[in-house]
Order: sequence, then structure tokens, then C-alpha cells
Amino acid sequence: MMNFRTIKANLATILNAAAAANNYRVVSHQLQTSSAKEVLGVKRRVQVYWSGSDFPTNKSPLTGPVQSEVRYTIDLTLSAAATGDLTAMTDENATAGERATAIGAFQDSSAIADEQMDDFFEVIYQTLMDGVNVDIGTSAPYFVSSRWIPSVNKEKPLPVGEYIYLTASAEFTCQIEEQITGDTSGIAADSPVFNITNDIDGDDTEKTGSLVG
Amino acid sequence: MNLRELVETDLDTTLEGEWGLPVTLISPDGEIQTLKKGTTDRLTGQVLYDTVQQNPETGEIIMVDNPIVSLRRTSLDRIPEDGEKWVVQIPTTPSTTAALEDFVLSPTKAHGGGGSIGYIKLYLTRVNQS
Repeated sequence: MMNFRTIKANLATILNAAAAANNYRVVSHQLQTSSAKEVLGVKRRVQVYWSGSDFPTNKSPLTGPVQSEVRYTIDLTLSAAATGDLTAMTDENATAGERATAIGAFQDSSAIADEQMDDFFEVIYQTLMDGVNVDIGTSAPYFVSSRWIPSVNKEKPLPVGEYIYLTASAEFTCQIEEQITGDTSGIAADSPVFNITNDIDGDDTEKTGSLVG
Repeated sequence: MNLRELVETDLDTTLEGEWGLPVTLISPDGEIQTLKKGTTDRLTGQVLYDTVQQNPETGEIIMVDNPIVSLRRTSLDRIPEDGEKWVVQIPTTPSTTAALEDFVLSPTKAHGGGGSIGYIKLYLTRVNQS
């Protein structure tokens, strides 16, 4: 398996390790559709997937490992509802003044979503750029260097129905080396071409045959 | 009767008639409206509650319930203004006896539409207990 795939899997593993404590879940592929409710509040979602590689010719020898600059996209998604004290809305004994006070204290969903996204990116950035993850989960001999998050873009809050939906997209880059092994899939290299056994009547143990590989 | 006036009169049937579902409004000053203005009839309106939207930033399809309430302006004690915090209680299932759930006017979408024939559209977002 090429190393860019190993790095992608390791990124998902690293993010998964911090997911439960920080109220998010990890998806390591691109989704086509989603529900605003499935990323509501504490169910924030981070998607990490490989989005491209460069193979500069001037950094690689004619034979041997190929140097590669790899890019991964990290999409952050969440949604939020407004919050407030609703008890005054259903309490028949509440006065108009008490209801007005409660309504005035409602927190807008867009403000909640914005704050949650700032916190979300901070968690993801600190996790991936933590010194303990400098090798992105690879073991010696290391084949990765220069991991970096060069940019993140936060989109505008999107009022989708009953929730506010907010996304942000960050780029994660690193340099790795890839080995050129050729495509050996489908070739059973150890299988002999001929495998002939001559069974001799009455002789269950001494058999003759030939194996030509 | 002018045709515009006739259309407005028809809202009694098209919005508040057999298609209508009960709606309760709580204004920013805490006043509750459950009845049509000046009557003893329940305040009702057209409640639409599901749709599919596309995120214009990413192209992603998002499944979401999208509550939109259309009310006859002449049935309201007070017309909601943009920027005001109103609580709107609506049923989220198509039943006149279903429990009403709490929503607030969307802070990011202006209300309106239908002013020329006498109704107002309210775009709602859900509000959860803090």
C-alpha cells in the first residue's frame, strides 16, 4: 500500500483518539449528503480524505523512492439550534414580563454555531500539530516529514431549515516518500507452474513426482 | 370587491381553512396570541415542515426539516418585524391535536413575502432548552 494511504488512515486514527473527549466523530471519506440533525451540537463531524499529491521530478532519483508532497482535506461540519429557557413559554402562571425576559436572553443559533466552530478547529489543529504526532503515527524508519496545516477557511453560517449549518475546510500537507513496487496484484509469485504427483498403487507413503517452479 | 381584497378574503380558506394548523405566537414583550385577532377562533396558518437544501459553499446536499409558517396578517395582533425575537409554537406533524414545539424566528433570514395579498411568511429555527 502506498504511503499516502497509510497517512490518511493514521490521520483518522489520531483524530479518532481525541473524538470522544471533544464531542466529534471522524469520517475518512467524502460524503455526498448529510442531515443537519446528524451534526447537531455535540455531534460535530470531521471528514479527512486525501485530496491530491505532487511528485516533483527534481526531488526524486531515477531509481529508488519517489518524493511526494501530499495534500489532505479536513472538513469540519456542525449545526446548532438556538437555546434559551423555555419553561416560561409553557408555564401558565408565567407573566408576560417573565416570558419577555426569557425571550430576550435567547442565544442565537448562528452565534452558537460560530463559537462551536472556533472551538472545533482549535481541537483539530492542536491534535494534529501536537508534538507527539510529528510522525503521524508512522514507525521507524519514518517516511514522513514537514507536516503542516497551511490554511483553514470558515464558511458563512447557512440557515438550513430549523438549524444553522456551518462548515470549515482546512488543508493538511506533508512530505513523504513512496516506494515503486510495481503492480503485483493477481500474480501468485510462489505458485509452481507444474505440480505433478504420481500415485503408485499400494504405496501410500512413497510417492514420486516433480515440482517445477 | 376589488380582486386583491377578494384574494385576501380567500386566505380564510387557503391559509386558515382545512389546510391550517394551530400556531401560537409569543411576542418579544411576552404577549401570547392563540386566537385570531378579534375572534374566538384558534389562530391557524399553513405549516410546511420538510425540504432538502444544498450548501452553496460546498455543493453538499443537506437533509433538514425547514419549518415555514404562513399567516394571514389581518389575523395577527402584531406583525413580527425583522430582528425581533419571537417564539412560534407549531405542530411538527400534520395534526391539529399534536403537541406544539418551540421555534424562534430565524436570525439570518428576513420575514415577509405575500404582503401584496395579505399574508406573511415566517422562517423558523429550532430552540432548545438551555
